[in-house]
Amino acid sequence: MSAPGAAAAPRARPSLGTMLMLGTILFIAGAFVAMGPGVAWDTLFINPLINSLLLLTNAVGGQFGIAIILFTIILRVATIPFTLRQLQSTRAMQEMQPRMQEIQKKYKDPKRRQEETLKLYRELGVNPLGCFMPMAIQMLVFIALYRALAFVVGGSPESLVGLSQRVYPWTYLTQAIPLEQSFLWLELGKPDRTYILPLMVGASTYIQTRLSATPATTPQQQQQQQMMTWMMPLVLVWITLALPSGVGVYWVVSNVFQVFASYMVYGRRMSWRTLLPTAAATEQQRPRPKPQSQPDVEEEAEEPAPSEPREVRSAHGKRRGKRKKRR
Amino acid sequence: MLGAAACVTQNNPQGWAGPVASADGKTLVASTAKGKLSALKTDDFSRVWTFPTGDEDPKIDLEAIYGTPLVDSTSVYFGAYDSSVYALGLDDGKVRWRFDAGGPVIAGLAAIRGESASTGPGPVEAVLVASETGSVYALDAADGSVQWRFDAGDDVWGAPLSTGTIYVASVNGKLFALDGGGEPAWDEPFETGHGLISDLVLSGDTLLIGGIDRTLHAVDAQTGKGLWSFKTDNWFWGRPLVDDKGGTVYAPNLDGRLYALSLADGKPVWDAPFQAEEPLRSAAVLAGSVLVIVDRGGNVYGLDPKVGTLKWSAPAKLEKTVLADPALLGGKVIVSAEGGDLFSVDPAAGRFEKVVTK
Repeated sequence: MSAPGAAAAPRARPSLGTMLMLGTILFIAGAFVAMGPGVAWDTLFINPLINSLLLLTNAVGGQFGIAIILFTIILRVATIPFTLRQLQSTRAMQEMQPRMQEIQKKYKDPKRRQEETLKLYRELGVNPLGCFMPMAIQMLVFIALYRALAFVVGGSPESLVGLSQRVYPWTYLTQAIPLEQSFLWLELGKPDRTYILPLMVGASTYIQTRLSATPATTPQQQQQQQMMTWMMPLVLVWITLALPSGVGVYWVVSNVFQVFASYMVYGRRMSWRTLLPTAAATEQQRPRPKPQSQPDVEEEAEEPAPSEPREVRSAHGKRRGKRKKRR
Repeated sequence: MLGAAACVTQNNPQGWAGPVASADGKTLVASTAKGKLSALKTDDFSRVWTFPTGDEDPKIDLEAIYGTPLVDSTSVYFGAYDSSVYALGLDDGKVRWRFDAGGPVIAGLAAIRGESASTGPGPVEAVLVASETGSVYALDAADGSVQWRFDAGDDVWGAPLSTGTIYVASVNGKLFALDGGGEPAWDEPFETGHGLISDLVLSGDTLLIGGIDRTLHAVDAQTGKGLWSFKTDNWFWGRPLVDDKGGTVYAPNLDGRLYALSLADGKPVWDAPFQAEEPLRSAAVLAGSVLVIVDRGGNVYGLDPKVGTLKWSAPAKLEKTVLADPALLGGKVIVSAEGGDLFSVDPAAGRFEKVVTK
């Protein structure tokens, strides 16, 4: 049985971002069905990305390294609706953490806990999939970009034969081939043996992961997050050691952009102290003060006791400060 | 994100050195594994030697071999992706000399055969080497010492050509003619503005070269002026084959088509180019009255050279990646697949057998 307050909560209309995202997913799914997965993947993602990279390389005077940086920025700007949506969802999830913790404390029955959690999502207009879908779309784009970069930066004459099958027959594009592989201290088609780029990838991934982490609601989640925060950068350092440097350049620029986007969304509330492992751990382990007005309730209580209303920013950025009528 | 990153792999060079037979026809030199070269007896394809053996100290890792080796009566010369050029004994595979070219060697080598400029068999006096750095070296065949060096300005991927005059093309789109001392022989190099990447071929006074600009260029070998050009949808990377009797050029293209063009004016000879299933990087060979071409997917086609239609009932399917140029040996076509397998194809029947396994 759902609480009257929750039942009365208005259903949020799908936002422009949601519609855009759903439209994109439908279009991609339709193309995969109509053209077949392999052809659709190449036609929609890989080949346009490869040709865009070549176009950009020509536009910046044949400097392939600069083209990768510009291309990454353009791609991140193009996918900014998804990025912002993901960050906003993360922020909304962070802001509802105190109430989530209350639910965790109050209800031991998993079914009841789930019901109450869903009720809270509805009440605050938060879509728990709001983080997942934008990330999934970005993931598709990133995988395509990695594949495109692997084709373009090459690393062997055989890869150029492969590239020839994907370049559009435009003279302006083929003028960029073969690409200038030297950039700063790097050979873009080969792994960086100086370890500088892999370390940059690791450091920027660590910062980005720390800043965009969703707060854990259980100690298990917290432990998993702690592990991921360290594992992600370390594994990426290891992977970068074996990949063409061009992919590493993309990764660093992409991470820097993500940190910048996080700052734009979180603004002053973003605590740089969370970058320090000890500070972050202390922050997460610090006991939160109980709301003054909340009386102690028995576990498995049929109805939750009224809690002090909080000002919670929803996923859509609107403040919901209304005191809810409770029974 | 980790999954995304794991989707990318480094494209390691594999090599596409074609096989080549010695002048006496008793030895076949071929790449029988990635970064390895072997001498094989032509009667039973048994190995005489393999280089490197793996026992060298310090260890030799050639990474990959792209250019077809150059073989004379006593030595085998080849360039490798590890930036080195080697001269090995034809009989024992021992290193006679090694030269550091300063960058990976993708182009095949060319031989300078003395004053007469004969292209026939005989001892090689100097070896022409071009590397990815754009440097072209003439190396003394006896000891590998540098006779002269020429800067082509950019990577050289196609084998140079020596017929008294030396021709070399670069991915900067310039084709140079040099005299025996490495000095420019033309007033200006021939320029296309795009990468010239195929091996050079000379027929009469006509030089042929293809490139990334999707064009096959015919150039006057005496003056360096363009004679005609033929444009397609993809790159010409495979070496053109000229049938001097018929005056026809057979040019493989990465669009999967084999074009037959008139050497005189570049006009198509066949009603339509032959369409293979996959891109054509390997050069075509004329085996008697059959024109044999192999695509990247290992499909071997036997064509009627006059009309460009398939002579066999179906292509022979090697089911291996093939990017190397095939060679003729005793009426058979020897095809080297990526990884080192060697196939012998009967051009009359369209049948094949694997003669060497890695």
